[in-house]
Amino acid sequence: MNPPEQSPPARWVRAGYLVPLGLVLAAGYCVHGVAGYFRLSSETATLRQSLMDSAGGTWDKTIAVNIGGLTMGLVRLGARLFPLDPEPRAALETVRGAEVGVYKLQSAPLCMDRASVFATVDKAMAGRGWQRVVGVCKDQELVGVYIPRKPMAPRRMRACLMVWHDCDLVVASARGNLEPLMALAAERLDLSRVQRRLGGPWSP
Amino acid sequence: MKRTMLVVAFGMAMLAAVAVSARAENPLPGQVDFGTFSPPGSKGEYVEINVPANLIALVARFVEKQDPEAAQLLNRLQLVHVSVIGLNDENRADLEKRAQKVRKDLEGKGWERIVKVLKQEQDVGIYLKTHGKDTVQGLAVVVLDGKQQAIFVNIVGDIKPEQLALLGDRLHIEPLKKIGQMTEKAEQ
Repeated sequence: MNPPEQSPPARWVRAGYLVPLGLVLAAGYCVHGVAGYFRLSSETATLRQSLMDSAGGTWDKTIAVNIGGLTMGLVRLGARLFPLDPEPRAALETVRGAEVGVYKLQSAPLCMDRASVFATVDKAMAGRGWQRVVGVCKDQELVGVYIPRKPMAPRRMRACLMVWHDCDLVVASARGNLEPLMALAAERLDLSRVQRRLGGPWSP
Repeated sequence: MKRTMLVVAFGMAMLAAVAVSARAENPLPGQVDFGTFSPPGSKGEYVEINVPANLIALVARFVEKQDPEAAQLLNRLQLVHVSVIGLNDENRADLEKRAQKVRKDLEGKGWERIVKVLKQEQDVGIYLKTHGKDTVQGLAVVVLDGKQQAIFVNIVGDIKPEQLALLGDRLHIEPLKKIGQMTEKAEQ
């Protein structure tokens, strides 16, 4: 006697699994996206962590905000609906993403050597393909600016910054397309040259 | 056949990686390694600026229309390195010794000293590296500015000493502007 054949699951049963799964995935993606606003990128986190490891002590996070490409894209899209002066428009078109973290030193170690901070941070950032272009250390202030070692096109500029003043630490990074700014600067320079030739302020 | 292609591709990738790292390790002609400087402790100034070719090219594009002469100068450069270290009782002897050693090394490696200024506790030496008669490969400056600071500058590319102030102005590097002005005063 043949066993009874099992009928294939109905389409509505398959959808019954897929829809909740899709909702869970969407919810997870939203949570991940929202959490991403408060999480620094790997390079900025390396900058922060290597400085803290070198300096020692206990650090408390005040705030960390990361505005990525998607959010900036939406901001640029929205900005096109409003009339804006050329400078703020160029600034919005330039910035493709930015993040900043602010931290406070709660308990400093007995012996803090600011001089060794650059060596440690440079090594950590070099491991990620970044090099220091500016380093300043004076009194209670330490500033470092890092850019990627590989050549960058004006459309894909990136930079990381650290500022340590007394007990306050700020790490930040930005990436952008400098072409709109360069175009605006060129336009302004041409306009000022025309003004000088005409011998007076330009009135449209 | 597939395995052979994979092996060849892997071998080429390794060769490329070795070539890139070799290129990265070999200094440019005209480049000087001053060594590593440390900030001088809790009081005292330390400034280090290292502008690579891609940033210089970007600045050149920005100033091209406003100042074609400066843009032309910038396009001939591959690296600008400036170190300013404040002098104190702990590091003064060491930095003076290092400055002397750097000068001796430069002269030993064929760098020509073109400017030497000893005036009001300022000790300025400017060195030029040339290739053949017309090609300048780099410029190096070693300054002991009184008892206050030591300055080490290396510019890789084709540049004349009288252009230092202009370069410092365009790249907003104050120590470079200062050295350029010192050089101009010394030559007058």
